[in-house]
Amino acid sequence: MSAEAARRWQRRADVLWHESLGGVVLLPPEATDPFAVSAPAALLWEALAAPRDVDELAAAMSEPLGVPAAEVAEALPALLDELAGLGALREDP
Amino acid sequence: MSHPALLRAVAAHGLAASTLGLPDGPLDDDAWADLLRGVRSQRLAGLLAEAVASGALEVTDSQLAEVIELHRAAIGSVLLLERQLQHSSAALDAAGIAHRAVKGAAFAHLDYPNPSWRHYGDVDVLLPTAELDRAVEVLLDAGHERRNPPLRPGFEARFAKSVELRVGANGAEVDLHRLLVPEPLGWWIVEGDLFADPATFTLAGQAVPAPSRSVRFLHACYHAALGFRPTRLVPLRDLVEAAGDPAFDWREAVTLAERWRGAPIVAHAVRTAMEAFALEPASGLWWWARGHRSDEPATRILEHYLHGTRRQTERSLDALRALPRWRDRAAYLSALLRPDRAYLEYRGVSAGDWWRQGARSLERRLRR
Repeated sequence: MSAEAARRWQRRADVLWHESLGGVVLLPPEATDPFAVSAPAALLWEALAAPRDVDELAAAMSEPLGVPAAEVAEALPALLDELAGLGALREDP
Repeated sequence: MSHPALLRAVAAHGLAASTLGLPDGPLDDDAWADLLRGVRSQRLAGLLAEAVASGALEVTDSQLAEVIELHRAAIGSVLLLERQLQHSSAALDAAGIAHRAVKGAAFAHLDYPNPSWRHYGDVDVLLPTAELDRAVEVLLDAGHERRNPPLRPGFEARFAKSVELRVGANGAEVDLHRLLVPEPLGWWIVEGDLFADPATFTLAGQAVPAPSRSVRFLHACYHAALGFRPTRLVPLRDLVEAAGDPAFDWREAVTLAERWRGAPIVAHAVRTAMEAFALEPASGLWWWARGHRSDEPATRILEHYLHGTRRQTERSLDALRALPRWRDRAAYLSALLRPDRAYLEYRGVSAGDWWRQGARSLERRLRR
């Protein structure tokens, strides 16, 4: 397993968020404005309630998305980086 | 009830006791535009989104895109308010000031199946009268600003319903209430009841205190009965949600309402909700409300609200009559007649204009 794949992520407990039609709207502590994520990313947000690595997240999202876990796993690092960059995630040590 | 049936059906979506139905198939463009106007003005985006998500209301692709956009925008506004509520509540906690989040945030998190169904436009915090002035100072130190100066120094903590503050880059409104409703009805509410048996909800891990279920229900009733005309649909939905909780004890709530001399207000609000949402009587509460008749003072005050005659002069006269001590009446009247210079400057009127406006208003009142 690569170092990237071994990283474990979890959503930050201090992010304000609500479900919305077709996704989730988030307001991390340092963000000035809320931002919306659409349905696939909302599934990721749900899966990030507990610390998980990319493979575990892909396995959790594969069935609801109807996409093989390997394909989901390929797309995940970019999405995780984006959410982490917005201050919505923390990396679990 | 003058709201269109379709708008009421959206506001009633998910209520098992409602006989209102949503149309089969998507609405045409005109009906859709009408519905969206109503949804925006009544802050019903959350219930519309839920009606669409559940499949109860069929929409076209373009209508779906509009609902998604509308719901996201409403949720975004609510999140910014929740952040301000977190900050205000934390500052009050740090100062050791007991407080309760009321109205929108409390209803959304404690009474609705999902907080995303209930949107609101400001932050409302209830405080004990004895703590109001200190709470204002604490929040001013924490970066809040007053919306307007007090009528007279000391007037708010003695007579007023609330103090309005602004905070943050977006100017979010934070209302500090010492009364749930305007005087004199607010004076008749027993303050200790408002702070008994608190509930709690969490915002991103931070616990925020709120009033008990019975108090939230009664607050929704007062808000529905005494607020905007025609009665807004969201406070009606709030009271139905609060009453729908299996743990809700309607007899306890009615006992409180009677102690607060507000039973006519509560009965009226419940009857209005039943009519607005076409509710089948589902509990003893509905039957109590149907049968309630009273000639209490609250009934006369309610009539003023319902017929649009509850203007400032009417309110002030009711308040004067309700004040038990001559000393209080004199202080109240003195503040109304001689507001502070800063208050007059904020209102953009001279002391002379203030007197003339008051005299005209009183004259109209006496002619009726």
